[in-house]
Amino acid sequence: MAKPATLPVLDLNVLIAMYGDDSAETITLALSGFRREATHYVQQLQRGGQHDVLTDNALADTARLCHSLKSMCGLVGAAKLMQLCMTLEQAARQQDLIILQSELLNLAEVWPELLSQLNLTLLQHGYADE
Amino acid sequence: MLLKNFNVLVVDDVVLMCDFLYGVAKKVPGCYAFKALDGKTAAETLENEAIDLLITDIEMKGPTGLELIYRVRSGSFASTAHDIPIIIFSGNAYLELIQQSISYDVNDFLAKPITADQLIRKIQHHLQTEKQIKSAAHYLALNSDFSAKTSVPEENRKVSVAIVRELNPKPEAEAADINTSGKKADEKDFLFWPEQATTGYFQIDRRLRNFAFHISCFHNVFVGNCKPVAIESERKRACEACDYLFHITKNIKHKERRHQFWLLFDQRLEKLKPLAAELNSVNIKHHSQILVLLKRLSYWWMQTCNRPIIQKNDDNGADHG
Repeated sequence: MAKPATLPVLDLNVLIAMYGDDSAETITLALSGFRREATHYVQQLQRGGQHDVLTDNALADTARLCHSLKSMCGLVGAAKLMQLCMTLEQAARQQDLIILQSELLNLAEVWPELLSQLNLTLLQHGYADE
Repeated sequence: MLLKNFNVLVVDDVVLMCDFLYGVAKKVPGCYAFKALDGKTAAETLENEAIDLLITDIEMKGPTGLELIYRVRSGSFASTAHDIPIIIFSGNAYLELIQQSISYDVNDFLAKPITADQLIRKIQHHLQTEKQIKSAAHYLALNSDFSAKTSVPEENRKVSVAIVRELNPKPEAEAADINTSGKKADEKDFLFWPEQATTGYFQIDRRLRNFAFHISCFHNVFVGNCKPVAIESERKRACEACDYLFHITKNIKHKERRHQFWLLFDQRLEKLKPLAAELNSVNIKHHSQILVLLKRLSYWWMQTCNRPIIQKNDDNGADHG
């Protein structure tokens, strides 16, 4: 397994291979959809991580959110965040609170990095924000 | 030429993933795609539309993918057949999940991520490949408690497969009798569904193919002098295939508009009804009766599997998604 630091933040080749299409329309549609949905998931994860006590339900929710976010990342080639989600999901399922808390802190670094890469790529492909 | 039409339902609670699956399914020629972001919407679609293939995620809120699969297999939906191909599309492959999927005879288990091309190939494969699915009553009887481990008795599986595999090829003389169209039929099949043929309705094609298969099995165990228990078992399966053909046809007919086709097909089904009733009541010890019945069934088949009821399938047609 590659170390998160060596993984690309956003690999468009993965997205193109997944969708089987390299048109600007497909790329912008996928990335803008990802940005919108992933933002929502990340916010929920960060809100969940602010609680001092994580109940079983909260852990299950964290695992579910990470699981969904992981599959989204796999689809668009957001490798670094995908790797982080895998670690978070596993930690939540194993109720390993130490790893969970430390990886949630990493999320605060990985996500803005990905977000700025997304914004740049969308701009390069002619996508105008609403 | 007709384009074989089929309905694919994709279910995933992640919008991006659901849209991806939907977009891919729409690219398959002849495919009408439906999408659902949760189990409840998926259940409504399965209830109201004749879905031919289901692709579902497992971990969802509300009815989970497994609950949805259980409901399909146990025949809970009015418009969707219980034996449609089901593909699980999940990011996790836990042992317990796989075991439960096996007990519901899921056709495939795909691990995310998967490319559009791979998924298209999978959809096409499962629409063309028949997997023997047990009766809805079997799945209904399975423990619906999803936390408990369920399993199908292994010996049952072996019995059902063995009967088919041990079929004797039919004598050549009989093959010549049946094969009046001049084409070379599959030597193992008493009745056979021509390659690249379609009624234009995917589910009816499946039922007709299934009917042909089970009548052929019944024929083969009968002429092969197999044990009465095997002959009786195949007779029952052939009866079930007839019943299911009638049932599915009734469901599809309510929603379709091809009047000319339905006029002709209805006539053929009316002719089949007395044969199905005879098949249902025939005593397998009365050899002459069975031989006559098989002959009449093959005659019915020849008259039915012809233009204009069936036509060549235009699989390379335009995108109908």
